[in-house]
Amino acid sequence: MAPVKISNALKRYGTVEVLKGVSIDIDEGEFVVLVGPSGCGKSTLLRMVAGLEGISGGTISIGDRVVNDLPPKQRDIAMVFQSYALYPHMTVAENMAFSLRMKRVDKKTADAKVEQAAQMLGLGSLLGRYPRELSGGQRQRVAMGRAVVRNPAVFLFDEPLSNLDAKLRVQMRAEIKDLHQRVKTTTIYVTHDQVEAMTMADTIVVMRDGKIEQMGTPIELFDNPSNIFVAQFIGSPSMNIIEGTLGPKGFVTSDGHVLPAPQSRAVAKSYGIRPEHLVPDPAGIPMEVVIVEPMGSETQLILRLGQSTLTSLVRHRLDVVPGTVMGFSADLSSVHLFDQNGNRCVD
Amino acid sequence: MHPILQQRLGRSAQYGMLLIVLVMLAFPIYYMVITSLKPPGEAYRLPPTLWPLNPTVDGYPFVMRAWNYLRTLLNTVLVAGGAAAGATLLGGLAAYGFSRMTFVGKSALYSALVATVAIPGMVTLGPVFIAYNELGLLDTHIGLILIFMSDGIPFAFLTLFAYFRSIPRELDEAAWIDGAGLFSTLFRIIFPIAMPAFAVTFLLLFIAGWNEFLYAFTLTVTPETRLLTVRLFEIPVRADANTTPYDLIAAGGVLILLPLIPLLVRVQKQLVQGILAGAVKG
Amino acid sequence: MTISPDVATTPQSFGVRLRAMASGPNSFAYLIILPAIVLRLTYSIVPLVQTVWMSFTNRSITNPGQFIGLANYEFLIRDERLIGSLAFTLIYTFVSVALEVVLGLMLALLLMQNLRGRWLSNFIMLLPWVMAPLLAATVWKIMFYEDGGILNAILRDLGMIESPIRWLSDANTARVSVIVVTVWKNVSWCALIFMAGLAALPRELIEAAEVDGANILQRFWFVTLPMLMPTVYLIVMLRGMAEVQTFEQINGLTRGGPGTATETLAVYAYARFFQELRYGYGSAINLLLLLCSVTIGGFFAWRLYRANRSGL
Repeated sequence: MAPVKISNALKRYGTVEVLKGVSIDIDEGEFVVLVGPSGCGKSTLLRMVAGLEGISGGTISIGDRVVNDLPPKQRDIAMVFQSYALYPHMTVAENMAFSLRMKRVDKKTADAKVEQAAQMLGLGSLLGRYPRELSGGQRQRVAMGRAVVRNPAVFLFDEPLSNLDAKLRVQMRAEIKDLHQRVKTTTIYVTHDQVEAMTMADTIVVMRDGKIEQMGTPIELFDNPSNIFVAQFIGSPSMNIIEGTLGPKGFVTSDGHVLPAPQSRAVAKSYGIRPEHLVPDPAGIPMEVVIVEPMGSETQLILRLGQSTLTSLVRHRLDVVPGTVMGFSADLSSVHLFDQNGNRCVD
Repeated sequence: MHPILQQRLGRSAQYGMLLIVLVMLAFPIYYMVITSLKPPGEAYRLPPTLWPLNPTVDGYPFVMRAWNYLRTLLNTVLVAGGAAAGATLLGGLAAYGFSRMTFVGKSALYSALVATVAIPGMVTLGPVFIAYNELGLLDTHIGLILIFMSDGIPFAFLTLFAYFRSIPRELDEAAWIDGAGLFSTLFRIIFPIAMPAFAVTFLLLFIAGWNEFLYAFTLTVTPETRLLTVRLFEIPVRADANTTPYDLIAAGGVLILLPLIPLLVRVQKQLVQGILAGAVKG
Repeated sequence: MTISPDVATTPQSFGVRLRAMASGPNSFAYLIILPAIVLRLTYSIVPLVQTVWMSFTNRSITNPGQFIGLANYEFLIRDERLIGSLAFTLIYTFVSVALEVVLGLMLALLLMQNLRGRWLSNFIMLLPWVMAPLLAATVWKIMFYEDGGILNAILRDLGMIESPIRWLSDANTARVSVIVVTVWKNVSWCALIFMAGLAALPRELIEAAEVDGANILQRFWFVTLPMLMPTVYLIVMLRGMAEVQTFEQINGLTRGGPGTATETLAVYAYARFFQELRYGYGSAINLLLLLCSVTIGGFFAWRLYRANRSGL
């Protein structure tokens, strides 16, 4: 276990800058999720921490050591890859013991550690099998076992669940979180899936174009997104954003509709409301229902207001036919206002 | 015509064509085998027969004695095997380097390695012959192994290069993170995974070395160093005969071809699955 | 220069880069690629340079060699035996490769029809491929004998000929005969590569054409064949370079005869270089052979590269 400190990390390929000075302080035992669209530099940053990519500028330290010039094996890290990268010619036990063999740990100790890790992950009966004989979830668990066996200072996960089907993903998500709660090893986890980020992270780092957009706890990011990008990236379905201007009576959309909004001294140019906060209200603003998507317990509605399209997520079943005009309203406290640069308006 | 009937007819036609093609491909080999089983008188009989009337294997011991078969076989295994093993190892190492690493002059070295394929063996053989003569490598097995090896390197390189590129890089990275150095990664992770490709590459190069004639003929002088294929040029003659001994030539041919059959069976599957094509397309 | 954390924060300080180059994967790369490259170049480029040099001398077994400029090349153009062997080499290469490609493709299409007995048919098909070229020639030579050869006997029994065909003793027939043997030996290899190429084609495209109403011939001609062109170029390149330097089959069948009717460039070069031991003139012939090989290889490698790049 060790803290990880990334200061002003830069990565250049030739003249292209893929990381433009990223700083993150990770406490001992913290679970940090790097999230962002593909190409945002999150995987590159993880690979720089692992030592698989060189560092073009800044420093990365693990514990109290600057690791910039250390090869992966001297960094005391373990990594779980997207494809799991299990050695196909070795059994599960051999896969897990490989790093110990490289460290010349004697066989008895190594066997005991493998046994212990296998117990923890429920791999006991699979130790003699080869990776090709395992299911996706089992492979995932072996990859984690390989990391756990070494008892490293830091766990690195590179989109470990993206090769699993939806159901298994939910299950493995819980298992990874459970593992972290038991071993309490500092963890950096990369994903493009905001649900994974929300459910697993102590701290989420939202990245875009090689820069950090916002860093904070899942609830902070959800409640107080610092800009439109984060607001739309976190939460599903994503936040409705409507262009317009904030006036004394409320927010006036570009085609003249007036939406109730909290007063602000800042000049707000965008109005944001999460679909689940836009609720049917006979006294609300009339909107035309364009598409109805019943999902069993919930109903998702695509609405039209002038030229704007909005989404509403209703937490119950709703019998309504497309073309119906219904009233909708939102609690003022759930309205987000952004300025012309897309940043959150602060009073 | 009814579609099913049409389909059946089509199938029959296909089997018919296949049969004709296979007979044409196999007949010369069949004829070699039965000729080798004919007694001398029958081998020159007019008209020739399509099967031996009085089969005999008497020709074989005669050829084996005349060729010093076991010694020649051992020479061939040594030279073809040594060269194939060397070319597979060196080609494999280079293929790993090219598939995983960046270094100065990479594309130039790649082109140099691959472009040498266009140089005919005859062109290089002359200077090699002169140099071998001066260096004392003429008529030695090590001299043959070296030139066979060099001949096999482009093929080994391209086959294994294609194979290594199909092994995900993440495996190498996992090994580095697990604490393996570059040699451990190579010999404990990548090469064991690539074992099937190494085996096929080795066997194909072995077959190529076994069948090579031009170098083996030109660079050897004494019977003690000669390889099997070259022996075909030394037709064994019976003391009393004045006709070409078809039966003995055929027996010699069988003796050269037969040891390759188990190898062919071993590589047949991979050949049909197109390991060759994948390699050259790269 | 020592690398303290402070120095390391300077992006890509020279010391860091230097150290990475000296101890990092870069030097290791040379360590593992150079043995293969050095050995290969020692046996290809070095002799090639020597061949070029010798072609400007009159070196022979008895003569250490003086520089004679272009004299060997002047002799080349006037050497009728050379012109004859060059012409035969080109015709032989063109006809054999064309037949190998056409018959190989037909064989591949036939073998891909999911017929039964695949293992056996593949095994039989591969037998000619696994034989040494010289052995193939020897086997056919037994069948080619004019009196008492099995081929003439069969053809006579079938009533197709009245007098025996002079397979190897008539100039034109002998030229055909050596091509027959070459095609017999190599057609399986071409079929193998074609099978791999055909298997790699996306099925949907051919099915789409079927849905669009193309019949089987139209599907082959308008969809399969154009997409198969890279494979065709690959085969023509490799077989072309192999056939243009044919030596062993010719030596096993005719030794260039009758007369010099089936003499290829390689056979002629061998005669001058190793039998007459005229290294200088032999080298000049070898360079002509190299020119042929490089032209074929280069042209089709370029076509292959272009076809692959255009995504076909």
